[in-house]
Order: sequence, then C-alpha cells, then structure tokens
Amino acid sequence: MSLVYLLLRTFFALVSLFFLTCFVIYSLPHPLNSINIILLTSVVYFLYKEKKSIFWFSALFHFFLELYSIHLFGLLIFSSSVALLVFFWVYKQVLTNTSWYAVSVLILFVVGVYKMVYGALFYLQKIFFSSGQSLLFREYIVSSMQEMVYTAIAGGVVYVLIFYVILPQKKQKKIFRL
Amino acid sequence: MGLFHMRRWGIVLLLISVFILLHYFGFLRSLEAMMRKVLNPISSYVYTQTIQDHVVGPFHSVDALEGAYIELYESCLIPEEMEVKNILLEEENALLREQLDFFSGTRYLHTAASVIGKNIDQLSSSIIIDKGADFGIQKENPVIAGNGVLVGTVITVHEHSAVVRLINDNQSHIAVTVRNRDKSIGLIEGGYGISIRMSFVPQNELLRVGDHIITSGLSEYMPYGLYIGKIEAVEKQAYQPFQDAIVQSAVGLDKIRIVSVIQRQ
Repeated sequence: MSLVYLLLRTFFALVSLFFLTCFVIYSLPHPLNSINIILLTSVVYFLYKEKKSIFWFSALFHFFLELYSIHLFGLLIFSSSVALLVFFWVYKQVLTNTSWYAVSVLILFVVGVYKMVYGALFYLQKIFFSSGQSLLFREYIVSSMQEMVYTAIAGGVVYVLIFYVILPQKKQKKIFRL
Repeated sequence: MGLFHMRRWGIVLLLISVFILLHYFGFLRSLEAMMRKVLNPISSYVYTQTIQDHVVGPFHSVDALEGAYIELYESCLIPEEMEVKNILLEEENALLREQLDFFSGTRYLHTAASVIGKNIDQLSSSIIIDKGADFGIQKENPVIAGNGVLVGTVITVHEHSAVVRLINDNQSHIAVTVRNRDKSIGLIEGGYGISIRMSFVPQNELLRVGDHIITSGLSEYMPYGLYIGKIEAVEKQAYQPFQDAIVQSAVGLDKIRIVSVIQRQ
C-alpha cells in the first residue's frame, strides 16, 4: 500500500512538474522561458528534505523531456545526472552554507555544469554519429548564460519564499554529512 | 572526493547509460508511447492556452471543434458565451477553410493536424503535432498552414505524433525561388528561431522588398510552389558574389494551431 502511494505520489509530482515546465516554456517571454524548472526544483527539494532520491526523480523527469526533444536521446538525462551528482558533492564539500545567496550560486553552478556537459555530449555525438545537427557555439553560450542566471535568480526567490517566509523554522545553518 | 564516492557515481552513471541504451534497442518503446499519451494532452492544453488571444473555449483540434459545434447547437447557452464561442468557431472555420481551399486546387495527399506543443529547448524552433505514423506521416514531409504557406518539415515521427522543424530553425534549409524578373534561386535558412534569411542569390540579380518567395521544388520531397513569405530587407556587401535577403513568413510561426502535412503520393 505504501509502495502504491509512493508511486502515485511520484507520478502526480512528475505530471505536475511537467505541466509547470510546459507553462514556463510556452507562456513566459524570452528569456524567462529558459528557467530550468527541474534542476531548480531538485536543488530546492534536496535542501528541504536532504533526500538523494531526488536524483532518480530528476532522471525520470528528464526521460519525459527526452520524449519532446529533437536531439539525440540521452543527452538531457545524462547531462542532468552528472550535474546533480556534482551538486551533491559541491553541497557537501564546498557550499555548505544554506543562505539564499549560496543557494543561488549553487543553482548557477549546477545549471552551468549541466549546460557544459550537454554541449560537450552534443559535439561528441555530432562527431561520432554525424547526425547533421549543428550547434552554433556563440548562440549556445548566450542561451546557457541566460538559463544559468535566470534559474539562479528564480531559485533564490523560491528559496527565500520557502525557507524565510513560509517555513522559517526549517532554515538552519548546518554542515551536511553523509 | 573519496574512491568510494567515485565508484558509486560510476555505478549510477552506468545505470543511466544502460537506460539510454535500452531506448536505442527499442525496449522502452511501449513505455515512451504510453507516456506520450499521458503527456501530450497536458502539453496541448498549455500550448493552446498560451497562444489564444482572448477568452475562448477549449477548441484545439478539428474533432473538438466539431463536437463543440454540435453541443452548442443542441444546448442552451447564455448569449455572451455563445458569442465568444461563435467567434472562435468562425476563426477555426476560416483556418480550416483556407487549408481546404488550398488543397481543392491541388492533387496533394494531405493530413490535417493540431499543434499540441513546441520545442522544450532553446536551441531549436519546432512544433509537435498530434498525427504520426498512424496517419502515414513520414520524415521530410512538408507542413503547411493557412492557405498553403510552408511552415516547416517533419523531422521526427512517432506512432501518434510528429515533430515539425519550423522554417526559422537554425537547421532548416529549403531551396526557394523568388517571384521576380530573374526568377532568382536561393536557399532559405532559419536564424535563432526569429528570422529567416535567404542566401546564395547572385549579386547581379535584382531583389526588391516585397518580392514573394516560393519553394523551387529543387529540394527532395519539397514540391514546387509552396508560398513562404515576402522579402523584408535586402543585404548586399561589396565584392561578395552573393546577396542575402531577410524574409518575413506569411504566418506567425509562434501562433500556429492547425497545420496540414503534405504526404508523398
């Protein structure tokens, strides 16, 4: 019964997040529509619950996004997985502070890693598979910077709302240890 | 970072890679089809809501339009709602009639489809339609909107949906001709999902603002004569063999609701 409840809850969360992602991408003006909802959600959720199961949730969600991507399957999932693994390490070893500015920097870094890995994989698949798709370097850098900055700002705002306004009792400075 | 964590990371990434490989071997096909069935209505709903200009009813497909029309005919509605729904019905009817008028004068095999979403990444300009291999749609099929205006080509086909690359996408390259005195031939390419540029037109040929652009039929699977748009600006540089032109599409590429896919005979 608890497994069924967990599956239903996960499915509902995935669908809701997909709805929110579509809303951000389709309705917000450029460049606000570049906010990476899933990475933002993953980071904030991890700071709230400190459960690494968010990694698998994010991987599953990126599988959903892969269904709507025109690029090679696997780029989104792999890039996001590496980005989140790096995030876990950075949160544990480097940015252990849970202030709102540290969270923004953390999100900026995570999205940066994600875009770097994605770009690298994209060029690799173009070399090895000659898919015919190309990626303008300058355009990619500009769109990556936009995604990083706007996601970091949105993440900071969401973090302040949750941890300073709605749930201030959750906010505590602590050192994360496995 | 300890060796233990590196090993754990490696196992996790290996699992992810195995999952990706399962996709390429086709083991995830049924799961992906099932997920698309669940997610397509959500994407369609959000997309339709974001491109509508005023308060309207849920008309985002031909079937929904027909059903809504019948329901409207049989039910009693308050006058304001009826007026709004009538306006939308008229708009949808006009869109469909435009496409029907185009096909009545040609011998193209075609399939109408509703747009249910668009690209999720910022690097491409594409839309998702609700018809796929089940309706005989294939890759490279041209896609038109309005009265025969080319908007893109099919690049990915799934069982019940397809992805269409719009003509303002970076990867889009279509051979075209200009309706001018010289019958200039060139290539239109998309730019950043915003603009369309026509290139490789010799400098000695005369291009003017307002000249009409149509497909030249020189691309494989692209018939001759599909309207694209008008020249908005001409760019010439000294000592260059070719001139460029900025083309304005005849339809708003970010507000497409209904399209038709021209299929191979």
